[in-house]
Amino acid sequence: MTDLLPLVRRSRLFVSLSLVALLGAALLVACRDDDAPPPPTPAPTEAATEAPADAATEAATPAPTEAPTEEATPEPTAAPTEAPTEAAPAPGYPRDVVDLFGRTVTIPDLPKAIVAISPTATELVYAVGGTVVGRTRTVSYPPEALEATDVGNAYQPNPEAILALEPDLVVADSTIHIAPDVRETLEGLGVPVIFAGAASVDEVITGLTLLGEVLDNPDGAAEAVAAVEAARAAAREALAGQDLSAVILIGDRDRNLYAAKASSYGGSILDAVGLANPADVQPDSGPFPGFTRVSPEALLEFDPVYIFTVTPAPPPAPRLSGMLGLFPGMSGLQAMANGRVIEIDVQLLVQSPGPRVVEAFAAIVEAVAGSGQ
Amino acid sequence: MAGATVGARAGMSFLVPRGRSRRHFLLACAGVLALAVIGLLTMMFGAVNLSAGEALSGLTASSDSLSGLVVGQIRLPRFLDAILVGASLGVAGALLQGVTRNPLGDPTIFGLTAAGGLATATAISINPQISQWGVVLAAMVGGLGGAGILFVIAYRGAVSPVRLALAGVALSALFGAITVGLVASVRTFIQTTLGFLAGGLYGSDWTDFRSILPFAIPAIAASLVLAGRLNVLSLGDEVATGLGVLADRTRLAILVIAGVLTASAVAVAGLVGFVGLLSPHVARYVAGSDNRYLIPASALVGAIIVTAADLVAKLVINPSEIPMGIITAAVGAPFLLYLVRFKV
Repeated sequence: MTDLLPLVRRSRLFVSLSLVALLGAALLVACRDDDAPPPPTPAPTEAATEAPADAATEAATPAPTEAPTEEATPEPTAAPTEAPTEAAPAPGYPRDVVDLFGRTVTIPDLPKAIVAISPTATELVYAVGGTVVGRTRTVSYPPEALEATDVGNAYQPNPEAILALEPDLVVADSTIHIAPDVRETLEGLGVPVIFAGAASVDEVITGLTLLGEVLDNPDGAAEAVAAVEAARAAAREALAGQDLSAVILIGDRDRNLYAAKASSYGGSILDAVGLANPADVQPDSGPFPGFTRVSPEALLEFDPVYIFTVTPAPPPAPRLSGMLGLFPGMSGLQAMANGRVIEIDVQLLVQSPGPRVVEAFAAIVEAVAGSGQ
Repeated sequence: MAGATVGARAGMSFLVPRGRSRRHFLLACAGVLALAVIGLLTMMFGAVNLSAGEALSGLTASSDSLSGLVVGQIRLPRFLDAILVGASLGVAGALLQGVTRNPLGDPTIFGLTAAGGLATATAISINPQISQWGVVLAAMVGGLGGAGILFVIAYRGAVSPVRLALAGVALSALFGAITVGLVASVRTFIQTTLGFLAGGLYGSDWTDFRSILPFAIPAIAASLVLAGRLNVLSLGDEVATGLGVLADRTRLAILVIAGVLTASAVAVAGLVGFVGLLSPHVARYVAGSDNRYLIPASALVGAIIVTAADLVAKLVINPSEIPMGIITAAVGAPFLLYLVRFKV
């Protein structure tokens, strides 16, 4: 007993100072968190997809759950009054919209400060006449979006930078912000979040319609949708009756080739304009969703009439269209022999899916027309 | 009555430490102070810069004010996550260095990180929508499985520290290779590969904190309880057995604790390297090699390293961030080289 005491006492110094203090503080803080439930608890995330109206309201506006301080308005109708300004919301608001994840989100008032956290989200907002105050690093279109504040890269947007802009709407990307922890972070910001995106031509149309509702510009959205449909129809017509096939190829640093399937955005463009895509029968493989890895042999077997190449690296890097001939056996491809290996802007087919699908349709028609078909 | 007297005496010595205790007391104070300073800076700086006053009031402000939201919901949970991750890795490193009597003891080098990472990566690739508790569970299975495999392979009649170290290095290479293969080929990871492999705290929140707290704290407490036995073990198995310490059973217990601690860190921060290796060396330099001091000191040093590295990781290319594990390696490696060359 007497031997043990000094030992116990001495250890207690460190234990109590570094550990117990840490534990105590940590628990205190955790308790504080439990007392005043904040948005980012997991519950709203899961509930948002399942129990639309109430949960989405909770996730969108932090205040209603702070009932203790606002006993005067204990009813669920507290949500709409929590608009950033005390003034009454614009006519037609608050309104409920269903985003591309199927979540029902309440938009309390006409959004005036929007942060869009992917190129697609940004382009969708501008396409229906909106503007953004925050954007992600790689956004390149439209030019006026570049004046908005950078909030980090699309895959890891900085929540603090988003909040600093005091947005009343965050437009996230249903093709990028899929991971539960990222969704949780975004939904925990206390700002209405909608997920739009464009995994396909059809989703561009869905996204435009959604943002038209959110920004109270259904006519603008209908116009943009009509433009997409007109461009699609024009492209279909230009390419009709010729029994054409095409693959979209992208290469990586190890010289692996990947072809877009119909489940990718680029592949859905081929599908939309009526070009047969022989790569579509292959299973998904390789790291890019909706793409399949193709060996030179498989490509020879497909022997498409057209090969559209995209190159993610910026210009000083060689274009894939120029490199393809260096792969063994590629000279046997009819597209190669006929000069129908055509480079297309990577933004149009891969990097910035969205309303510029109109330009993508035009680029394909132009490529086909320009190569003597 | 007698008990009360003893309690009062212990209380007095706590307040007025003398001799060697005094040195340790001051060092602990300095460490906690350093952590507090880093904490204050973490609360102040980021994409939104707050004054010290705003940052402190943000700690208690409700989450409908900007400072309340930024500090209370983003910075504070992430800072506490960093403390838990750092303390876990620091203690795991100290335990492994002690049990193998090898200065290279480290959860990363011994394959525990890789085992936790492999299990986590597998779980995420099977179910990309897995909850944080699922991730923690997978990491625990991986960490304990790794520790178990390590022990079984190293056990041949008795566990030799040398075999333990060699087996650990081999397992680390094996698990690491499978993890990299999985991460490189499964599309779920394509966007976050670097973050996972290099380790970082992007997006870590209260959920993460709550999910590892019940594992990390008991494991650190248990390692403090075993610190004395670890001291005896360092005298050699014969002496240890003579003093009534069951050498292999203690080694197994310590490996299990190290596995749990590593898994806690992996579940929240991915594959952060170097903290487990570096922290005990820094701690040994300031607190000596008695495990009863070394282990808590390693926890403190680990927490300081990870919180500081995370602060830097967030600020370097603000508003984007770089994986925190890159900072720990970039700063930790030269510092360890310095210790090796001039101090150890």
